[in-house]
Amino acid sequence: MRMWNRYRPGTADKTGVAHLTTLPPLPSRPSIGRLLLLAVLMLAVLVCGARWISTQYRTGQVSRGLLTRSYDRRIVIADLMARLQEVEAGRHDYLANRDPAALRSYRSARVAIRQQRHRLERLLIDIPAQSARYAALSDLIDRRLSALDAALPTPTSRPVASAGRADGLTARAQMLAAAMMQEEDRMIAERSRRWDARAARAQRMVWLLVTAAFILVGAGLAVALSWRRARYPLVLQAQEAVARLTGVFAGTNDAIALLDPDGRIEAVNPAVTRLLGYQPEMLIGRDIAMLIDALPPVGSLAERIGLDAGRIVEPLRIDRVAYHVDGHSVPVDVALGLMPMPTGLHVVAAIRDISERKAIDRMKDEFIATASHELRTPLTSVVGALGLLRTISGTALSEPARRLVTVAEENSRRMIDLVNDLLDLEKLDSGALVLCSRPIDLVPVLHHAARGSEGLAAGRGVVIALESPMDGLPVAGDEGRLARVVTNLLANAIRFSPDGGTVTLSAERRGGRAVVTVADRGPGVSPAFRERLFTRFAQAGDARSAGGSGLGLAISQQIVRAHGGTIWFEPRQGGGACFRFSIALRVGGEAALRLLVCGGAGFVTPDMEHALAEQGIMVERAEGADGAADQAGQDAVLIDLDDAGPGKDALAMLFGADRTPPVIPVIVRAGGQFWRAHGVSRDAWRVADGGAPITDLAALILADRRAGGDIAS
Amino acid sequence: MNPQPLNILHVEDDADIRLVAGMAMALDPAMTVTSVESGGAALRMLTEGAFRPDLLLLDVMMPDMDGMRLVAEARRLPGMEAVPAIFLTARTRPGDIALYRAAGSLGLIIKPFDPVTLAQQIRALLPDPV
Repeated sequence: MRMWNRYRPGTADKTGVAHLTTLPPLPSRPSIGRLLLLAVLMLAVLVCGARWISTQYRTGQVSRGLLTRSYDRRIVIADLMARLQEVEAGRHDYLANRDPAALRSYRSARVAIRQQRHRLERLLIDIPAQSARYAALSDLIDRRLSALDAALPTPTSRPVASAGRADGLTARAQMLAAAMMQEEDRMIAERSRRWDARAARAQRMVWLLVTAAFILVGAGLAVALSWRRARYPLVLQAQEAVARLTGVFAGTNDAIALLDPDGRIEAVNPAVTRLLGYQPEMLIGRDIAMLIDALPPVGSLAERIGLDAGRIVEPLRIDRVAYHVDGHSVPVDVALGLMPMPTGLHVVAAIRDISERKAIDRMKDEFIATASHELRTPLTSVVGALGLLRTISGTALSEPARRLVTVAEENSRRMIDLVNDLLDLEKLDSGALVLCSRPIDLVPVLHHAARGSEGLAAGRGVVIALESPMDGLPVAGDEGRLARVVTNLLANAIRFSPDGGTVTLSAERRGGRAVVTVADRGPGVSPAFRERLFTRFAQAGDARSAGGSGLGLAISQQIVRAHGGTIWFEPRQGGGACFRFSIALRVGGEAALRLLVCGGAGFVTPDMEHALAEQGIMVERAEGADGAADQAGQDAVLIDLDDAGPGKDALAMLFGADRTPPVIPVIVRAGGQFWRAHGVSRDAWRVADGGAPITDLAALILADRRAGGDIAS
Repeated sequence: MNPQPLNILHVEDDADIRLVAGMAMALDPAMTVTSVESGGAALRMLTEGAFRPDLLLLDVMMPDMDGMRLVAEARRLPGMEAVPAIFLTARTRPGDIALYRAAGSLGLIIKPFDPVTLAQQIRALLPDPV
C-alpha cells in the first residue's frame, strides 16, 4: 500500500515524479544459501550425534561380550572345581566300596574336567593375570589328578593307598579357583559400572539430539510462517497494482499495445479495437509494424525504438500513421515507453488519434490564411492610397497634412508587418515554413541587413557600426530568414538607442559556431523582463511607443532554432543591451551537394534538413513528382511516392528514356519502404536499409557520389 | 529610350484597390490600364469587345471565378493563346505559389504592394523584348 502512495497524483512530489519517470531495478532472485547452510548444519549435527551413539553402541557390545565371558569363566571355574570334587568323591567311594558305578562317575568327571579346562583356556586367552593363576591351578589339578589316578587300580595293578596325601593340593586349587572367581567378580562389577555410565551418556545424547531436532524443525516452521506472512501483503500489493494498471489499460482512451522483446504485440487494450477496428486475437503475436509506421520493421527492438544508453531517443513520435483494419490510414501520435522485465525489454506503445487535431490545424491554417488575406486587402488600398498621395500630391500638401500622411502610412505599414509576422509565426509553429537552406556566407547577409536598416537608423540619428571577420562565415541556412533575424535585432537596438547613438553589429567564430552580436547603448533589459523576452507580444514598458509588433524576438528565436542555433540576451558592459545568436559553421569548404526532395512537409523535417546541411547537403524542395521532373542539376533525388500525390506518372519522365545522362541516384519511399535507385531502369531499384532514417541514406549515397564511387554497388 | 507600350487588363473585385493600382500604373506613361471588377466581366470584354491586352494582371480570389481559371479561359480565345499573366494577391502560402506557377503565370506581386514601384515590378517580371 505504501508503494502505491508514490504513484498517487496527489503526492506528485519530487520523489513521486522520479518514480513515475524512472523504473526501479529488477529485484534479484531470492538466495536460498542461508537456508541451505542451516539445513546442512542441522544434518551435520544429527549425523554426528548418530555416529556418536553408534560408536557408543558398538563399544557397549564389546563390553557386553567381555562381561559375558567373565560370567562364562566364573561358571566354568566353579564347574571345574565341582568336577574336581566329583572326582575326589568318586575315587573315595570306589576305594571304600569297590563300586564300579563310582568308578564310572570318577571317569565321567575326569572327562568333564578335561572339557572345562579346554573351555577355560579358550576363555582366558586375553586375560594375562588370570592366565597366570590358571597355569598354577592347572598344574595343581594335573598333579592332583595324577595322584588320584595313581591311587586307582589299573587292570594289571593294585591301588596305591597314599593318594590321601595329595589333599593339600585340592585345598590349594580351591583357593586359587576362589581367587580367580573373585577376580572375575571384580571385573564383572567394574564392567557393569562402566556399562551403566555409558548407557546414561547415550541416553543424554539421544535426548539432546531429539531436543535439537525439535528446535530446528520449530525454527524452520517459524521462518516459513514469517515468510508467508511477509509475502501476503506483497501479494496483495501486486494484485492491487495489477488491478489498477488493468483499469488504466482498459479505461484509457489512447490505444495501447504492449510489445514483447521481439516487437510482437502481446496485449492490446479495448481502445485499439475502437480506433483501428482490430479484435485483439487478430493482433496478438503479430509485429507492431502491421499497426503503426512508427517502428520500422527492420533490426532488433532496441534499434527499432532507437535506444541509446537505456533511453529512447525519440519517445514521442508525432504525425505517424496507424492502419485501420479496413485499410484506411489514421493520423496518430505514438508515445513509446520501456518495461524492463526478467524476460527481456518489453515496450509499451500508446497510440493517440490526432484526426481531430489535424482537422483543427487545417481549419486554423485556413482561417489564418483567409484572415490575413482579408486584412491585407483593405490595407493594400490604404497603403497604396497614402503612398500615391505622398508621391503625386507631395508638393500640393501643407506641411501638417504631409506629416499626417506620413504617420498614417507608417502605421499602416506597421499593421502589415504585424499581419506578416503573425502569419510567419503560424507557419513556423506548424512547420509549414520551409527554410531555403543552402551554403551561404553570413557576412554578406549582415551587410545586407545593415543596409536595409539604415533608413530606420537615419530617422533616429543612430549609426550602425558593422564589424565582421574578413574571411567570411560559411554556414548552411536560409539567407532571407537569417537576414530577417538580424534586421529584427537591429530594429530593436535602433528603437532603444539614444539619439545619435551607435548600434554595433558584429560576427565572429567561436569554436565551430558563428556568433552574431547586436549591441546598443539603450536602457538595457530589466531583469524582471528578461525571462519573457522571447515570448510573443512581450514588450518592455516603452517599446510600444518605439513601434514594434512584439513578435520580432519570438520569430527570430523560431528562425534561429530552425537553423539548429540558439539566441540569447546579455547585459552589455558599460550599459545597454546585447543580443547574440549562434549557428553551426559549415563543415568543409567543398561545394555543397544538392538534394531534391519531393514529398510532404513531414517527409524531410527541418531537423533532418539541418542535419543534412551540416554534412554539406542542401535540400531543395519540389511540389509533387511533377515538380521533381521539372527541376534539374541536383546531385540526388529523394521522393516520397506514398505522398507524392497525383504526379506519380512524372516518375516515368524522371527515369524515362528521354532523361539524358548524367544519371543521378534516386531514393524512393514506396509502400512504407525505402528504395534506392540508380540508372534509368526501375528494375535496378533495390531495397535500401528500411530502418535507417532517409537522411542517413541520402547522406550515404551523396558521400559515394562525392567520392566518385559506383553508387549502384 | 521610351519604355515599351503596355496594354494591361487589370481584374480586381475590390474597387479601392482597382483605383489605387490604376493610379499607380498610370505613373508609367507607357502603360494603359483597363480595370474590370470580375472574371466574368473580363471574359465578356475579351470575347465581345475583341479587346486584346498585352498582359493580364489578376487578383486570385474573386467571387465568380478565380484568377487561375480566368487565365485558362482567356487563353482559349483566338489571339490570346500566349498572353502573359501576373497575379496580384495576398495569398502567398507555398502551396498557393506552386498553383500560380502551374497556371502559367509570369510571376506574383504580393499585396499590399508599393504603389510607387508597382509599374517597375510589373516590367521586371516581363520577359525581355525579342
